Amino acid sequence: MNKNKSSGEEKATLYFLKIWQKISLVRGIRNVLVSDEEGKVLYTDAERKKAESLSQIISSGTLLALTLKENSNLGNFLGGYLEFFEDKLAWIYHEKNFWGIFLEDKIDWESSLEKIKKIFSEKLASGIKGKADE
Amino acid sequence: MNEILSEIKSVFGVSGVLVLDKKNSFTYQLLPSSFDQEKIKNLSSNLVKLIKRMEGTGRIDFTYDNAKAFLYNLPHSAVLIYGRLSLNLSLLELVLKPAILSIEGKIKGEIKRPKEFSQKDLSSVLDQTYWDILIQTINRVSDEYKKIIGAHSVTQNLRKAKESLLSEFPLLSALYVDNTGEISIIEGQKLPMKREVVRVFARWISQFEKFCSVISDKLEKLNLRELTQDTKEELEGIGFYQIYESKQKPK
Repeated sequence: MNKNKSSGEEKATLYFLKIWQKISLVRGIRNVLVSDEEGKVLYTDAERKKAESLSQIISSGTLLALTLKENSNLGNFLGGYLEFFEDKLAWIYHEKNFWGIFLEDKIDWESSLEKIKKIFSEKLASGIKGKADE
Repeated sequence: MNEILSEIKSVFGVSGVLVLDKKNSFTYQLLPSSFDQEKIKNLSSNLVKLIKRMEGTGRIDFTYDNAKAFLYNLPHSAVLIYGRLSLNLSLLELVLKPAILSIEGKIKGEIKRPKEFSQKDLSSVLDQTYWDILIQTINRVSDEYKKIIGAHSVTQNLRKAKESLLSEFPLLSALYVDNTGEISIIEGQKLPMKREVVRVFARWISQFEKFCSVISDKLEKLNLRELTQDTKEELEGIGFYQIYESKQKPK
């Protein structure tokens, strides 16, 4: 971890790490990526440059998905999946952050996202509501 | 292009399709009427932003409570499709394979772009792009009128206007007005690529509006330039507005 990081960033990283510990137990997940609404990487254990490119894409992708939703009766946007060169990344939008997971081949991304959502709801139920609580 | 989009949209469950010409940031779409010009513009601009961030090609799937959407980022174009959860994915894939090839071929094959045309070039060839734009334009006019006088009256008046111009412009016989007031090219018809096409559409719209004005006093003059914001440059380039507006001037 970068020693120059502010304590706020460290807390955020710790929060993401705690969730990541749970997420990493889901079968078929290689790496994780957390970014903010603007596409800035907040946490990742994947290669940084790749994570930065992908977080920009998922940020724009979500914006497109939300625009499409505004004009049609599609219901809530639940998540996305993209194949980018060799990588398969699924993501959800949760608490104003994007949570992306790099998947191994032949893994059903929708069911993986379901499992992650379950982790989030369990965490919320157990009282971990956000970075401030960490 | 309209024909390809219609083919994709004909797959059970598909609600809308939008194609982006990546080089020129020009879009073709077949979206429900809930998408007005402003919304289409917004959607297109977000699509352009996303595509710029995606290097090379790729695919993105989006999932919603009640729907699915797919974005195919191809070498020359990007195709966004959305539809109900129940949409027939295997049929969609089957239709998409040739459709994507055709879309790419059309976009790649567009040698002459509207910006390269000057007024002097008007007597030269018009390619399929212009047909697509002109059909899109008249369909937009049709959609606007449907909101006020309904699809039935619009269909009747479009057909009536077409009939009245048929002897002057025989190429109108290549076009078909369906029962919802939507215009398309009759399958298998060979399209002439000449300047007359622009005149035909300008006159047809003008004649149609004339017929409509007789049946309702609620009709206000359409602002065609506003209605066709996203294809304004192309329409201007082929002299469409000029011909259309010359028909609007009081005698």
